[in-house]
Amino acid sequence: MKIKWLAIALLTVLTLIVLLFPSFIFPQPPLVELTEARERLSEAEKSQASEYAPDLYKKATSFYDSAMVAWAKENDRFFFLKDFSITKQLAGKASETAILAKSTAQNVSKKIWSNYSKRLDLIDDQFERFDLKYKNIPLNENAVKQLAQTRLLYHEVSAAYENENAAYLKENLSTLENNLTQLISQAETTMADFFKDYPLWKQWAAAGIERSRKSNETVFIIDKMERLCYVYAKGKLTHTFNMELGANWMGDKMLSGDKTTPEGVYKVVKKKGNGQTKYYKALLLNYPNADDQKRFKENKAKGIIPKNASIGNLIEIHGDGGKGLDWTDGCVALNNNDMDKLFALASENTQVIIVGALKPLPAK
Amino acid sequence: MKITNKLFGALIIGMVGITSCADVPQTEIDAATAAIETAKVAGAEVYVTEQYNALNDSMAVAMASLEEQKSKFFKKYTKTVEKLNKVTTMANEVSANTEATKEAVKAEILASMEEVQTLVAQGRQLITEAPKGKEGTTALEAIKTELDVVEASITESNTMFQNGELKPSLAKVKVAKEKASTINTELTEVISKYKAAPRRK
Repeated sequence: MKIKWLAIALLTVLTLIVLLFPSFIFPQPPLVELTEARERLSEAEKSQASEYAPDLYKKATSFYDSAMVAWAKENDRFFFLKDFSITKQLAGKASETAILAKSTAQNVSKKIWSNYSKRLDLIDDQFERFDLKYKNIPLNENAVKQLAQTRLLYHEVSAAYENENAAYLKENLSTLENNLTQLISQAETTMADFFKDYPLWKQWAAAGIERSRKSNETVFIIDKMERLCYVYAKGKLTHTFNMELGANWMGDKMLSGDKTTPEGVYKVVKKKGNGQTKYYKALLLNYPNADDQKRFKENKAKGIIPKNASIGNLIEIHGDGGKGLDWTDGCVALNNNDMDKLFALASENTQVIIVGALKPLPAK
Repeated sequence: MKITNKLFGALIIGMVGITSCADVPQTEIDAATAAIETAKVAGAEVYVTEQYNALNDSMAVAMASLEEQKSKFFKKYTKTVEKLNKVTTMANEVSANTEATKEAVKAEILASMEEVQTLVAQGRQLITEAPKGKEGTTALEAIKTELDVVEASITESNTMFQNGELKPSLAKVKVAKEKASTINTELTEVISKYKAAPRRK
């Protein structure tokens, strides 16, 4: 009888312990580890680990999900038999991997954005140099369109950088770089082609200055590239004027209507005061000279220009300039104040040397 | 002995009864899951990213709370249900915020598109007002091409808008607006410079 009551008492005590303090008896889930794993994952996501360390982030998420599955599986078992060691282990791995994903994402992100920044700085620099060196290069319709599209893309890419839109940068930065490289390459080719006559220009200019020195003559030298008109008297530079050219100023004039300013050694054949010209004063040049006529015939014979093309005439240095752009049909335009000065310095037979450039082709 | 066995049996039955008395709040879980899915489908991940991430965090906490209760000897899902209901409410708010953000973005895109179109039209008008003839034609042609490119960009932005790609559409139209505005300023400068240049005396 005593044993029976002892058993009942023991059973009651055990039951009470179980009811009041179940955690002392049954295995408990790793709540701390699971909470930590969740927090670490959340931090990793905030550091954009899913974008900059996708594999690690995926792995960490997978560990956490597996921990939850393992937990749920153990919960289905009878409470005496529950074992949360795998859950704990997986939660720990999820935390470790999430921490790694976060730091990796931060490093990768830093590197990627630094790279974007450098590349954009370079593009910025290339555009600046392009505008400086090639702004005046006459472009064909396609090149003009390509340049406009590239400029707009540049603005879009810059805005994406400001807004930290990595996806857009990843997709478009290389395209922008390629387009710009192509434009620069086209411009460089055009420039190299333009400068092929540079030795001849140099020779003309040197001979003109020498002539001015020896014969005490005034000589005008027109530098198309720099848009400058130099006046030499007795071999010395006395005046420099800004000027404007034909819209298609690059290269030598080939035919009438090509809007190109010819290159060569000319002379003033007529001084036209107001009333004699539709512009503000004008100095008519002897274009086409013998060299121009010879080249024109050769080009016609080679089929470079149409058979019915005419060589053109009425190439002048005139006023009405100062518009800030190349607008003439091939003439040289000065602002009216400068034209007054040049007009006064000129006389019939004053030598006018028109060259592509006086300075050599700038290095890349 | 018989009494002891009966008592032991009653205790076991009682314990099993007590430990399994609470039901898993499946309805609430389903409701929260469905609400999150609705927010996701609405585009919460794209338009209210932080809110969407916070929502997922809350759901993870609620699910952990569920498992925690399931692990307990005495299961009580009251707090879990509260958490799940909170998640559902939060998800509904996130969905509403997503829709509101989308509407705001849509309105901004449409307004910007209209502005760009006006700017392009102004630019084209300025070109017609520019001096006729050979003078300045090249520069004006280049500007006209830039306006064409801006117009093409609006078309692209509109296509994105129609396809529901609101953020890229907005980014594009914003840049187009800025560019169109710059072009008009440049155009005005070119024209005024031209007009200001001295004519024949």
